[in-house]
Amino acid sequence: MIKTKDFAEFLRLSFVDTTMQGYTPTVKKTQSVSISSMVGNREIDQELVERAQRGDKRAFGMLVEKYQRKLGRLLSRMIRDQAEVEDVVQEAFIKAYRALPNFRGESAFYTWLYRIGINTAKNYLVAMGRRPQVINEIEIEDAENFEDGNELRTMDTPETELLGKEIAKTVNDTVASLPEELRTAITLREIEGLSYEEIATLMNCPIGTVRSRIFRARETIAQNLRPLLDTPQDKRW
Amino acid sequence: MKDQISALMDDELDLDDSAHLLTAIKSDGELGHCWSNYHLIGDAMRGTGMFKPDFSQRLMQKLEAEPTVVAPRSKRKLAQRPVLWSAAASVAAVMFVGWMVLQQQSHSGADVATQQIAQNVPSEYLLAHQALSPSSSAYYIQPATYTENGQ
Amino acid sequence: MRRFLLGCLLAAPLSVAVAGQDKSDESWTLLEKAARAAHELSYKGIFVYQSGPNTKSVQITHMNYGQGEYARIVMLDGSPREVLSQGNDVVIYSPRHEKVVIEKRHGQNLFPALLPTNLDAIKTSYQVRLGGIERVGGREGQVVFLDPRDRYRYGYKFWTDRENGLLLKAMTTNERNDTLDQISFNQLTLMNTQAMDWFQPTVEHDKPYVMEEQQARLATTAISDEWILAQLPPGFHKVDQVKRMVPGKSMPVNQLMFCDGLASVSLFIEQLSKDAHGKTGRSSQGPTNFYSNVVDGYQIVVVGEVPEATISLIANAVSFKK
Repeated sequence: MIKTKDFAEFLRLSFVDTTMQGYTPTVKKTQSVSISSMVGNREIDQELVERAQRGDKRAFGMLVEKYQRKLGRLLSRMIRDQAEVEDVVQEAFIKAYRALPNFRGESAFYTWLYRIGINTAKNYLVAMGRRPQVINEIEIEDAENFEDGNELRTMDTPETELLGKEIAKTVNDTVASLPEELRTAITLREIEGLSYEEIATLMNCPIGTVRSRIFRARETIAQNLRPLLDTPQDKRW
Repeated sequence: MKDQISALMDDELDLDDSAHLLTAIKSDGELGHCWSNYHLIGDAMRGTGMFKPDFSQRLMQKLEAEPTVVAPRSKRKLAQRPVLWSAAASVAAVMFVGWMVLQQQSHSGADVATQQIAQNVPSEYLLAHQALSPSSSAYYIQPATYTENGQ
Repeated sequence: MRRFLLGCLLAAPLSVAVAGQDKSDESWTLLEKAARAAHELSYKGIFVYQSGPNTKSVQITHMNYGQGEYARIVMLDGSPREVLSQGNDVVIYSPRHEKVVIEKRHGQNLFPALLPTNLDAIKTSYQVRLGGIERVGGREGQVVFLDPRDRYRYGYKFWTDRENGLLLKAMTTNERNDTLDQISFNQLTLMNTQAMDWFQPTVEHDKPYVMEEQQARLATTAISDEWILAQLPPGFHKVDQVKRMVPGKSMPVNQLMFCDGLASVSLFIEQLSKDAHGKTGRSSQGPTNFYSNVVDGYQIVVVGEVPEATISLIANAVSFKK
C-alpha cells in the first residue's frame, strides 16, 4: 500500500514508464518473436543431434523420448492401423539416425525428422499396395506448430488404449488439482508453448519463479504417474 | 538436478552448463526417467496418445545394432533469434483477403455448451476494449473495473 | 441521402464540381485544425457525454506551453474518478472501497482530441461535408459531417469552434440518422495562465493511493498458428495485438484491435477448456456493439463502436486451423 499526498511523489508513481502498450498511430515496429515457442527448442535439439553425430546413440535416444508421440500423431493421419503407425515411427527414427550425417541444422531437427517420417509412411503404404492418403493442409513449415486439437482417431491400439487413457487422465486430473500458479505456468508452457520470459511477463513474476513453478508442477504429476509407469519392462537401455 | 532437466527441456538452461546434465541423464536411471516422464506429461496434456510402454526399449535395441554414425563435427551455430516477421508482414498476414479458402466452421454445439449472455455488454470485454481503444467517448460511461458494475 | 449527394457532385458541371472539391478541402482542413488544436491549445471547460439515458458531466483542463501536454479530466457525476495525463501517459485515479486505485494507460485520444492529426486513414473511409453554423455552449460552431463511405462505420457530425478550431461537439449517427451518442461542451474557455497547481488528483486525499494490480499483457506481432482471420472490413487496420491473462481464466486471451482512423473494434479469441461453457449472443449499448460466439472450442468476442455489420464480418472471418 502506498500512501501519498505529495505532488512530486505521485508524479513519480504515476508517470514511471510502463510496459503496457496502448494505441499507437502506426503499426508497431518490428519485434523479434521468441523462437522457442515456434520451432521447438532448437538449442537443446541441436546439442543432442551434434552429440549423436559424434557417436552418442543415447543422445539420439533422448530425442526419441521427446518426439516419438508427436511424430506418431502426425503419421496416424496417413496410416489407419495404429500398430502399423508404431512400426513406421520406429522405422522413421532408424532412418533418421542413419541420415544424421546429412543433417546440417539449417532447419529444426523436428522438421527434418517429420519429413523423414512422412516419406517413410508413404513408402510403407506403397509397399503395402495402398494409396497414400493425401494430406493437403499440412505444410512442412507448419510441422513445428502442428497440433491437431480434436483429432478423432487416436494412435492407441487396444493394448495401449487403457494405459494411455489412464496416463492421460492421471496427468490431467493432477494438473486440474494443482495450485493455480503452478497450473497456469505449466499450461502456458506446454499448451501455449510460451517461453519462460513470456510466461514471466504474463504472470508478472520473475523468470526464476516461472522455472520453479513449472518444475514443481512436473514433479507433482510425475509422482502421481509413478505407479502407472513402474511396469515390469525396464525402461533403461 | 531434476529442476535443471525441467529447464533444459524448455531450452531455458545455458547449454554450457548442461554437459554434465546430459551425461547424468543418460547414465543415471532416475534422471533418464525424469527426461522421458516430463516429455510424457507434456504430450499427455496435449492429448497425443501413447505407444506401447516398451517402445523406446525396442527402438534402442535396434539402434544398438546399427553401425554407429560419426559425422564430421559441425560448428555450433550461435544462438540467434532471427526476426521472422516484420511489422508489415504481420499486419498483411492478418489482413490478407481471399487467397486461402476457408470453410466457415459452424460452431460445435456438441462439445461446448453455450449460454446466452445478459443483455448488457459484458464489462470485462468492454473494459479491455476501452483500455486499448484509441478514441472512445463511450469510455466515460463504462464501469470502473470488471469487478464493479456501474459507478 | 449520401448517394444522392455523390450523384450530384458527379453530374454537376465542372465549376460546381470544383467548388465542391474546395468545400471538401476546406472541411478536411477544419478537421485537421480541430485535431491539432486539441493538443496544442490550453483550455478548460465542462462537457457532457450522453448516450440514450446515460449522461456524464466531465470537467477538463488541458495545458500545453511547449513543454508537453498536461491534462486533467474529472468525472462530475457518480464516483469521482479522475484522469491525469502527461503526453501519452494516462493515469486514472478511482476511489474503490477504502482506497484510491491508480491505473496506467497509454495514449488514449479522448474528447476533444477525438480526431487523429493525420487524416489520411479517415479519408479513405469517410467523406466530408460542410454544414452550417450552430451555437454550442455559448460559442459559434462550424458543422462538418463525416459520412461513411460504406455500411461498416458510423457517421459523425462535428462542430468546430469558429474562433479557436477546437471540437465543441461530436455526435455519432447510424445509417438511419439516429443519434447513438454525443459529447458536447457546456463551457469552454482558453487559458492564459501557466500555473500548474491544478495538475494533481483531488480524489479523496485521506484515503491511501494504491497501484492497480497490473494485468500483465504480452504485446505480440506473431501470426497465430491456431486461427486465421480471412478479411477485415474495408479501411480497418490492425493497430494492436496483445495476449493477456484474465483473472478467473487459466488460458490467456488474445486481443486484436482494429481501427479505421476514428472507430475501433476489438477481437478477443480465447481457447475454452473442455468443460467450460462458452457464451453466445449479441448486445448493444449506445454506439457499442457486441457479439460473442463459440467456434471449434474457442470463444470469439467482438466489441466496438461500429455497426453490427462490421462486428459480424470480423467475427465470421475467424476460423481455426485443423
